[in-house]
Amino acid sequence: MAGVAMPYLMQWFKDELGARVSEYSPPQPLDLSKIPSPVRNIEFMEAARPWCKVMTEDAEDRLMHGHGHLCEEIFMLRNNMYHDQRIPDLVVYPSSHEDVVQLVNLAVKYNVVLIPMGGGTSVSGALMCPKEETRTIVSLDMTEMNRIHWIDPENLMAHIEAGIIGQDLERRLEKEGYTTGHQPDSLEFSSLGGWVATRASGMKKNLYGNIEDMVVRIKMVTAKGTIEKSCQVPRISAGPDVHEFILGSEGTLGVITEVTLKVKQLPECTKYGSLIFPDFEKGIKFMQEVSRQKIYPASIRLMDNAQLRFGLALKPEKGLIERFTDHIKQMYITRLRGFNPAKIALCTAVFEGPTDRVNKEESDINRIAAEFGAIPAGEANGKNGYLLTFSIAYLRDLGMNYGFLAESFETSVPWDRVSDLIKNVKQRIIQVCKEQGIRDGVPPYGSARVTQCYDTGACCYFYFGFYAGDLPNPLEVYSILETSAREEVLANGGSVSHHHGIGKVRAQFLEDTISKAGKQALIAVKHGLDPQNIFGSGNLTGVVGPTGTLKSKL
Amino acid sequence: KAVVSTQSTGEEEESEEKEEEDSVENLLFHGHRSDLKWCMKDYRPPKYTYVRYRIPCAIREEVLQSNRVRRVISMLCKQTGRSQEQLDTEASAILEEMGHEFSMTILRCIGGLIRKIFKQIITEVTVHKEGIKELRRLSSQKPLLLIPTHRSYLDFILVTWLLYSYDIKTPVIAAGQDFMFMKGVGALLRRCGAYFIRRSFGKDKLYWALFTEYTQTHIINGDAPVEFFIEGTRSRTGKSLQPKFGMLTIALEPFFDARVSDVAICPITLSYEKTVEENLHVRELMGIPKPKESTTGLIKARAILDNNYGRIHVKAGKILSVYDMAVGKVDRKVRALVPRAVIPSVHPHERSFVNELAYKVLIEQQANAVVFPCSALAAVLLAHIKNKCWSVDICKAESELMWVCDLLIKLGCNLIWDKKQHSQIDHVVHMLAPVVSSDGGRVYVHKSPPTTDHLSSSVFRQCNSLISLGRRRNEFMHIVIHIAIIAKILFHPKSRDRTLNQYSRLRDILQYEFIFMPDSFQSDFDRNVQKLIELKLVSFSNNVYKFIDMKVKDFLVSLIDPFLVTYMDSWQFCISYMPRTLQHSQSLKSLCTRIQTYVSVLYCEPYLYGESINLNVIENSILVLAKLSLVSIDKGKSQVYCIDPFNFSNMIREFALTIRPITAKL
Repeated sequence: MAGVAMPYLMQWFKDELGARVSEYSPPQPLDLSKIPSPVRNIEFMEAARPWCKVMTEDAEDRLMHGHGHLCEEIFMLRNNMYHDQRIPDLVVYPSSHEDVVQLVNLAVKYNVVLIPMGGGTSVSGALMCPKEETRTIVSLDMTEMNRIHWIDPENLMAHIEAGIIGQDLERRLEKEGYTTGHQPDSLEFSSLGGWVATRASGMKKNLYGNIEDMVVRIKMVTAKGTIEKSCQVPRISAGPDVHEFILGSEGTLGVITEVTLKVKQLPECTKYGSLIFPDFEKGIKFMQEVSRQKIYPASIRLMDNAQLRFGLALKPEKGLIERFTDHIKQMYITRLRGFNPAKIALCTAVFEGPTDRVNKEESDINRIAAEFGAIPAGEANGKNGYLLTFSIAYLRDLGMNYGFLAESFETSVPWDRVSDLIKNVKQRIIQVCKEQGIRDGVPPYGSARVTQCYDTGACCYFYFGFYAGDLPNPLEVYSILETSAREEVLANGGSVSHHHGIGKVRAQFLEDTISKAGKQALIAVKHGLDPQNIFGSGNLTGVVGPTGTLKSKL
Repeated sequence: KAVVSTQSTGEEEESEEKEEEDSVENLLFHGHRSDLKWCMKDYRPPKYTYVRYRIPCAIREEVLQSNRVRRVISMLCKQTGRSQEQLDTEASAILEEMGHEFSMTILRCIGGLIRKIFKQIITEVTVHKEGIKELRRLSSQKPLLLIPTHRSYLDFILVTWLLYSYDIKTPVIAAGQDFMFMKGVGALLRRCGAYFIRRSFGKDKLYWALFTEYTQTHIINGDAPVEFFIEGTRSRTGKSLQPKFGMLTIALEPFFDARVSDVAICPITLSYEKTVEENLHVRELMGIPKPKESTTGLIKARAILDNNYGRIHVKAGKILSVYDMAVGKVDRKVRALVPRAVIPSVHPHERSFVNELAYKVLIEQQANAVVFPCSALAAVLLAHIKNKCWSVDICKAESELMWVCDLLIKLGCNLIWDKKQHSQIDHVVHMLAPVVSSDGGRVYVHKSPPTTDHLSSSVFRQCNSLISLGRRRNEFMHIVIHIAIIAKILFHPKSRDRTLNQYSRLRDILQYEFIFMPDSFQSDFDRNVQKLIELKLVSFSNNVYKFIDMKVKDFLVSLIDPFLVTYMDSWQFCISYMPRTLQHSQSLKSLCTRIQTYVSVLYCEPYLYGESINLNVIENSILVLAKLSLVSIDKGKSQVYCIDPFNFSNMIREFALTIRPITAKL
């Protein structure tokens, strides 16, 4: 969508968020002089040099490997607030599984910390370095490991190195006529290894599954050797699946180096569709019914009114005739059908597969939608709905220029609680904003969509944003807001996360989620595989094992 | 310089006074002067953000189709063998009987009429504006629960009237069924938003489900604020009744169940200078049953229109956010594991939260109460009657009244004089009529003619007036109760530990009589002792408390003695005559009546406290025995017997020591 003028966007910022053009505050230029100097481990550096393609201590590189895409991290970056933070001391780029094995051995030998990094799109604080860590922290940048070893047309599998970035993977598979079908919002930047390490989910999971449904075999290098299965089979009954320890381990147990994924032939036909519902509640009922009847288009999502209006603001400039036809359509919806423009919700769908199946699915969806009072709203709206999700991160940067802080978060919840959860969480955000004294007359922005349907429930995705330009403590307020929102999610029967993971920002909720004994089990595995705490990012369970403080004192 | 500074303080005082005047408003003349125009005024209350507009019969239909009701009906089908159609019909009929038929037109008409009547019988209705504004602001954001104090039938009317005046959505009101049977009146109340609940429906599961769902649907959808009385019924005694938890639990379940993100609770305090039902309530307290509510009764009661009931003050208190208060106390996740389709049960931690909240609401209500000088005069007159003087010189009465009022104000009481009256004392005496009157020289308390049979006539003649004055005095008891207990204990100086210990003991004993926040005796004690020390009423040295102001001490003791003596008498009767086995047990009501008779015989001449034959106080004295596990009372209150006579007699002995000066006199 680059290069397309979006004339309505600024107006939306002004109308809905009360943005003031006069309050433009661009990011401060990066000030590298304040970046803390690296903690050197000369022996490790000497020994590791042959095993990496690139090794650097450059301040900017180190800084870029010390953060993900949390609102908090971006805010700190824009305001040069990293001078008192711990960041990686060294960045290395291995180029093969063998390199990684050697590097991990050396890390064990010289007692340095390894934090694996893929695309760096984490929104859980997983790339933040623990403050108390005194050993050398090495960021293991995997992006040089981006080869596709083989594609197997017979069994429909591909063996791929974990550092490959999503869009490269898709582009290269496409050339061969295949796709993984995994399409997270971060597709442009995130890596295969990152998907596995965080239990990622893509938009088209209905057709292709989530990452855990796609992997056939994983190689992970740990401090005690490589974990891998000796066969690549569809299913195996050999005790608990070791893949389950790797999926969602968030870099705490080892480095994922290679993955065998299922692939599919490119779909014969792809079609977009959209439906307008008189209100969000009806839309949810419709989504539930679609799941009940198991008519799963590749993707089907429901946007609430606030997000719908946001989507409209992103539309490119239109000619006279287009505007006229838009007006006619609007008249039809609001006047003839009696829909309240302040209440309508938009459902977007993607259909993929053989043409006849796509057509059947589309007509099924339209039939059910009619029962819930929906009107079809055309292909273009459907497509735009998907564009929106890719553009959010860019738009947040734009918003930050005007003093806004914004973030997204997600959860999964049983069907019977979807609508209450969304209503309550939005209400809580508004309430906390009021209590925290966020500027009067500037309503906090809160919107939600239902993005994934399952048999027993759904995944809900929230955006929230607020004007922080005149707050003395924007990050504190932001953190209070995020915690309250998450607590409300949990109180409403939602999960701590659907696909963003735990990292550090949600670690406080882990024990409550999986019980004390459950957390003990995770800690036991960590102790067993990594007693020295080489993979010391402190994600998931918090820091387990030594951080070097003791040793340095001795 | 000195002159300038005094001037400026003078100005400040003036502006403060003005501010105070600005902060209250007279509801009688709010908005249009003409009642007709007022009825037809522009009324656009803010709507709750998530409300779906529903007409009353649609609400009933949704209740009928709700998960809860469907489940209960299918369960009853299996259990009782009745067909689903039968149960559906029964459920519809119950809903028909229960539901409101809210109609704005009718509400406007009745509102106008009532305003006209009020202008005749009420001097003014003052409203504290700040609280109401906050209420209006929140009404669009959160579902609201309105919990007013309940002293009079007028409470219903006043709250709805208040909300209508200030452009807030008028509430639906959970009311007792007593009114429903009044021809015409029941129907009118329904149209003003009242819905009716049977007084007792014990184990009727269908009724329970329908009533729960009907209440909750209004909270979840936010059609209107839900109003109910935490005291359950009108307090006849002038002080707050112990809270009832059932309705509050039902109202908070949508929050526990995460159907709504928060519920705002607004305690509303309505303070009456004189309640319309005063006489009836006094008779009830003596044991004369209340007449059944009926339309003819209402028409006969039109005599009330000839009287003046003085002033009414309304204050919407600090609005409590259930979410804020539940932090760390209620874990909503626990309920999230029960699907919506299954009827959830109330968890123990939710129960104790509701319990605590109910007391908070009551204490907030009390804190916002206004006291009128006539309550103080009642206390003054009671003290004189204690010395067998049924009439007092008017100047003496006035100076004593002023002294009591000053004391109460010092203790933090919001006491308001009627600035418009020429002669304060005349007005105050008039507010105690017909029990009290004055002829310009003296103030007389009248003994009324006897009408009952089970009490000896001379006793009865006194106690009608005594109970009546006692009721009025009770209106400020919540302010002095803690320090009155302390004054009682400090009849001679005591160490801190002993004072605290006896304070907590007496507080336990009086727990049914007054509202005490559970589990906070230590902080209540510290706060009140601190206040006494600051006011130089009590001294503290060498770890010993000493009450130094004897006049105040005697006054405070005279306030609490009637209750303590009544408890003592009642218990002394119980230890000798209360049945000790289940077979011989008797009902609470008949036991109380026996105690009443016993006491009236005991004291026929010398002196009697009104409380001693006040059935409410007597009943409380027995209920507390059950709380202390000395007596067993079953749920229906029909089988009462003593289970632990040994500890009971020990306790009486100990209690007698605590209140020694009195027992010495006896």
